Amino acid sequence: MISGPSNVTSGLPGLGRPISRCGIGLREPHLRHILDVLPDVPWFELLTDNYLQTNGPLLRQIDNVRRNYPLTFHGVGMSLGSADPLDEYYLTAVKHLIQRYEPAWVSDHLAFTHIGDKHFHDLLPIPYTDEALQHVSQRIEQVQDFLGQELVVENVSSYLQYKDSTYAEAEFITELVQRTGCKLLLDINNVYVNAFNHGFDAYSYLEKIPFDEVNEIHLGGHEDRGDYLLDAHNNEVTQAVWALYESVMKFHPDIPTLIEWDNALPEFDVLLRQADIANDIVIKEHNVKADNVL
Amino acid sequence: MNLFECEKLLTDALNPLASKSLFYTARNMLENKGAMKTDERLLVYRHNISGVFIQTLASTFMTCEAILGHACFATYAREYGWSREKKTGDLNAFGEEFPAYILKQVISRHELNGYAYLADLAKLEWLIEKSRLSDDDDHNDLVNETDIVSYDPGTVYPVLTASLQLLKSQYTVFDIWQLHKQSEDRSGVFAIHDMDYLSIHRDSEDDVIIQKIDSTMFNFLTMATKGVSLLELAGDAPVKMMQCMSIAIQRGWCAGFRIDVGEPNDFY
Repeated sequence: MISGPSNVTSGLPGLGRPISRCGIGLREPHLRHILDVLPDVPWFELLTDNYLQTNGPLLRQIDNVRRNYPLTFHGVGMSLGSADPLDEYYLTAVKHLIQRYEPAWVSDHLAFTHIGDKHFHDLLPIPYTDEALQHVSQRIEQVQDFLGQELVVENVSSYLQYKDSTYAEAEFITELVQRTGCKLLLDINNVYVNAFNHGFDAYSYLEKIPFDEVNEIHLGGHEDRGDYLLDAHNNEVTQAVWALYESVMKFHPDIPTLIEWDNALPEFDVLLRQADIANDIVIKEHNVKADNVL
Repeated sequence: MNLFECEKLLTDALNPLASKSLFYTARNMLENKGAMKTDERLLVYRHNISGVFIQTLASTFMTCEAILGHACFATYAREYGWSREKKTGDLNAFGEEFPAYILKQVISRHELNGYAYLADLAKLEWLIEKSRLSDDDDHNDLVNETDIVSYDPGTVYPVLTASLQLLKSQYTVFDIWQLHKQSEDRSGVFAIHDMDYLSIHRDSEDDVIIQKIDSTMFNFLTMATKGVSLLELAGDAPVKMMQCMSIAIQRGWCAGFRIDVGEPNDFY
């Protein structure tokens, strides 16, 4: 049983608003602007790993954001794919934040970030084997039990695959969902990057995804490095990824989307414009659907 | 190969300090479809991980980076990151042992002759970061200075603000740090052997304030951090203690006082 502060936002406007349309990944350099302007953004996603303290000035700023917007949590430190034991310190800190902010959901990645006595602070891919499937399923269940809620798991961008893998990534993810009841965060840019890096068809990958279980879609920019694509999160979403996104929204326009931008962070308005593009695509697909019904 | 062996082999091979044979062994477990070469697949991860190490340390140890130059700083940051044993996944705590690592380099590397002050400078930058991110004070159960007069000084314990950090250096590291903050031109920067006693804390506006203090105040605050009573702090010099206490309250280093009268003694 952990102890922590009582929820700081109960009864305030952000609470209870549904997560819909296109949100934006909250980054520290934008905080002041967001709190001054209160832009028309339906929700923000908080990078939990940057706020593992129990209190202090960083969390006071997030308190103010939470008073005005719904939040989701996104982390990189659960290391769901690691053969190490789960990090109790990390999970306790996340639970503490959940109690404080009541996010709509909590997500992390299908990857490992630490093993043995080392922490790599990067999302490393796992082999898609029966052993890994059983191991990761158990860990997701443990995390869900500990946090007391469903976990949302994201597909990662990758630059390597293992010969030992016996599942394709989409099959592995689908199996995880069936075994654990977890939800999915589908990063469409990651699908595109991986398709290029590993030579598969991105559209075929998407056909295998159980979209009823997808809580959220991520969109971000990548860098073309010639013989590979780097998931750099440092520029705008490319046309090819928008096309892939449109193909998904055609059938699932109600899934919330999020714009992620981490490096070479531009003015907040640039992110807003990316969100507008995503929202326009959703509106267009909704209109097409309505026309078809008529 | 089981999951642990696979992850261990991959990460050992990614370490630039490891042998080349490990790299070749790891290469054999990878699939290769697409335009990328197998070596490149591993090198992207090695580069990304090193990049996180360098970027994280550079955001805290800005003055050290400026003095060493980016390339040299990156070499040390890479080596520190790859050799560091896992503590937590909290990137805010990643730089904690970097000043100690720099101290080892200063002692052992001839190219760092003349940079003996660098370890203390790194320590100053780490303490600034620590102060910036520290918890807010918990004022529950604390009383202020006007309410302590009625208590026995042996039962009154000053509580210092959670953001307060103290640094004693035999170099003028504060001046060096300040010079780097003010100007890109660092041609006049050099370390003077002269004791620096520094206090670092966060003010009510959340700005981190660094102040030069004298050795008396430094010793007073150091002792107060150990959780001793006013009586113990006073020792043989109660007047001096009262002066120090008054300054500590004025400058916001003291958050308040805890009264501990102890459990009632029912022995008799």
